[in-house]
Amino acid sequence: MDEPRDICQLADGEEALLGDMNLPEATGDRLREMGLLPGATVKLIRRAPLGCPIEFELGGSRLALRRADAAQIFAQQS
Amino acid sequence: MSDWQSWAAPAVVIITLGILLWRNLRPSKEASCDEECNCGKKE
Amino acid sequence: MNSPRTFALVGNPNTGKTTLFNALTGLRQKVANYPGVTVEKKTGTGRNRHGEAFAVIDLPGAYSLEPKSPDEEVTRAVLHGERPDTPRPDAVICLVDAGNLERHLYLATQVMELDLPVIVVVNKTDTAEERGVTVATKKLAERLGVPVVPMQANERVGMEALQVALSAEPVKANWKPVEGDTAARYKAIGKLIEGAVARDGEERLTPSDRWDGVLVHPVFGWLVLLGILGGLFFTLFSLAGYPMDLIDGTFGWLSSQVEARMADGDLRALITEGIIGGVGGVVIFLPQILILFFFIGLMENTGYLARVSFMMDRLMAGVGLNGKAFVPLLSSYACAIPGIMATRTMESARDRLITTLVAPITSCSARLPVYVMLIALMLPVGTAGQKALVMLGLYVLSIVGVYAFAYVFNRTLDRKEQTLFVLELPAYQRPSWREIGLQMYDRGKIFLRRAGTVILGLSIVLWALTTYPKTDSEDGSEQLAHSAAGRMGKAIEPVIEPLGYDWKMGIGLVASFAAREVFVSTMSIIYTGEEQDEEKTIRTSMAAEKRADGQPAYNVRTCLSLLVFYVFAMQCLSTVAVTRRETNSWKWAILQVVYLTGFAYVAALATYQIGGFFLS
Repeated sequence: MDEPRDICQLADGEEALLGDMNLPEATGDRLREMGLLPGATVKLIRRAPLGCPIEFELGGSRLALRRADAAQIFAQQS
Repeated sequence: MSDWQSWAAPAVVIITLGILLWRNLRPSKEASCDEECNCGKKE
Repeated sequence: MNSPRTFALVGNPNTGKTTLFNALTGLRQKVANYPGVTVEKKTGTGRNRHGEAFAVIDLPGAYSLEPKSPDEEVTRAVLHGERPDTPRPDAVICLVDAGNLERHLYLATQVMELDLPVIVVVNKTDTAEERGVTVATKKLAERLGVPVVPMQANERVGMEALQVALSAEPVKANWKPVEGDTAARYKAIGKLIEGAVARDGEERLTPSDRWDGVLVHPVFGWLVLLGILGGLFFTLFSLAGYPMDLIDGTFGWLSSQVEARMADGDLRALITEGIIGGVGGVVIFLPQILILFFFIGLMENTGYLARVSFMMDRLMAGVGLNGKAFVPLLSSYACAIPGIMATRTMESARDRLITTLVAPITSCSARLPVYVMLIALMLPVGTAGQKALVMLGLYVLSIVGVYAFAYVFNRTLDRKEQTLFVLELPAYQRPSWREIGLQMYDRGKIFLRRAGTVILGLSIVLWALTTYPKTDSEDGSEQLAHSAAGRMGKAIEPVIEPLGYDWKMGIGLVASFAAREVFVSTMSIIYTGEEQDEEKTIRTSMAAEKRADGQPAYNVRTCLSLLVFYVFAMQCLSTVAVTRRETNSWKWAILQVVYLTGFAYVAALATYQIGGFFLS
């Protein structure tokens, strides 16, 4: 695959290693502080009943992100 | 009709009005804390 | 004697900070605001094993000491000793979650670099173990050289060990400040916990996952939510009636006691009608406020609230709100004051502001008596079903109003900050009744304090407006017409005439600017000459009221117009005061009054005028 996958594209229960993110400085900082760093493992748990937001598991915590934000966070290409 | 009541009531009203105005129109920094906090302290 | 040692409680949101704070301090706590910002300041005192008192400050939840919200800024400033209103703490209790030590130690290690002694509390060891994570706290304690206490704060497991740590001389951690960025800190933390955290790596379904399978299920999730909301509203509007009647009766008894003991006169009228009547009219909402906070506390305490935000976010996003605005708006259906206070849980100042601005449109319970009276007048021979339908229509109108105005504000307010929606979904846990009770007690206390101060003052002023200047007439309604409020009613008559109101209704409108429910009692004074307990008689005389042209004053058109006016108009001084306090500026409070009342006027005008085409 040439195009890097964003983490919205994961299937339910699928894990991925984080790569880059393409978010504004302040938003990106907060997510990095929460552990969304390159190399960390995220797992897509479920989508909300209306499709957004999306629940992820990261380092033992569950976080929900909106699709628009999560679409700017990419998985490492395997 | 008790006479003293007809001046006591307006007096209570005026005092109340005074307290209300004083509480709400004093400098805004202090007005923001109507719960007990360290209002009296100077910045 | 030395002043007691002060411990600051620091941790990420959802770590169980409040639970631990309550466990340490019990009822010996104070809730206030940090001056200048709308961040809650919680302080309390506890006793250590030597019987010495210590103070605890529960600092707002934070993810990092590089602040990104007003809450986090307060935490940072207090820890640096930069807030003049709060002395720098002597030591810090860092609360971390055993299930995700890396992330929680991010903040904790930043705190260790502040040159303050620390105690580390590793909380929620039970839920971590359910996920196959065990933390060797002894190893961490050896490496850091400070007490590291494993706990389950909600079950009070580990309190004993924490008490031991609190009773010893606090020490600074053996931690070398991290140079570099976020990644460097995570690397250093990784080294610190190496070999101290064991994960069995097994895939498993925790009890929390099973709950989620139902509670955020695309079908069952909504059913459960609807059921809970249904239960909430049922309790709010039917069961609450019993304690409310009791309060009503108590205040009635109180005023009859005063009447029996005092000679007739102005002061007696002030005490019975102004003070007892006015304060009683507000205190009567206490049961509803307590019920509301019971439900919110229960949902928050168990972790269900985060799931509600998770499900509702999409519906709120369309108008620029987020899922976290759902609860403040829901609360506003009982009363906008706790609703606006509940916006504090939202990180984004902009979202907080929009939610605060639209919250008064929700149909709070103070509108209910007005609705009930007007609907009865409008449909004198209507069935209960028809009346309920009108009531439902008013609720729908208020929901549409909330959405529409949130949309407008979202479009017009400038977007200075980048809003990011990150919602943590903590593992479910058993509710702590004690904690829910404490929260209800806190909220009830704040509410009663308001009733005893601001509301008391306003009731006295309102009483004066309807009493002075006096006439010699013994007739109550003539006296009212002569009073300042009566004159105001007449003065605004030309303005409200196009809406279908006369000056008597004008008095009701003027009086309800302090509080909506006053409309009912004012109307009863106007139409019966004196206050009457039996609503029936008021209704009959109101229904009999005629206009100059012989038409009934309260025809369908006028009633509809009044109802629409009451849906939108900002007629609650307490809400104005809360908005003023929560936004820290008169600007937003005044904007709220102007836009809501202005829109109410236009909407009522449209209702009356358009109604003219269909109704006589």
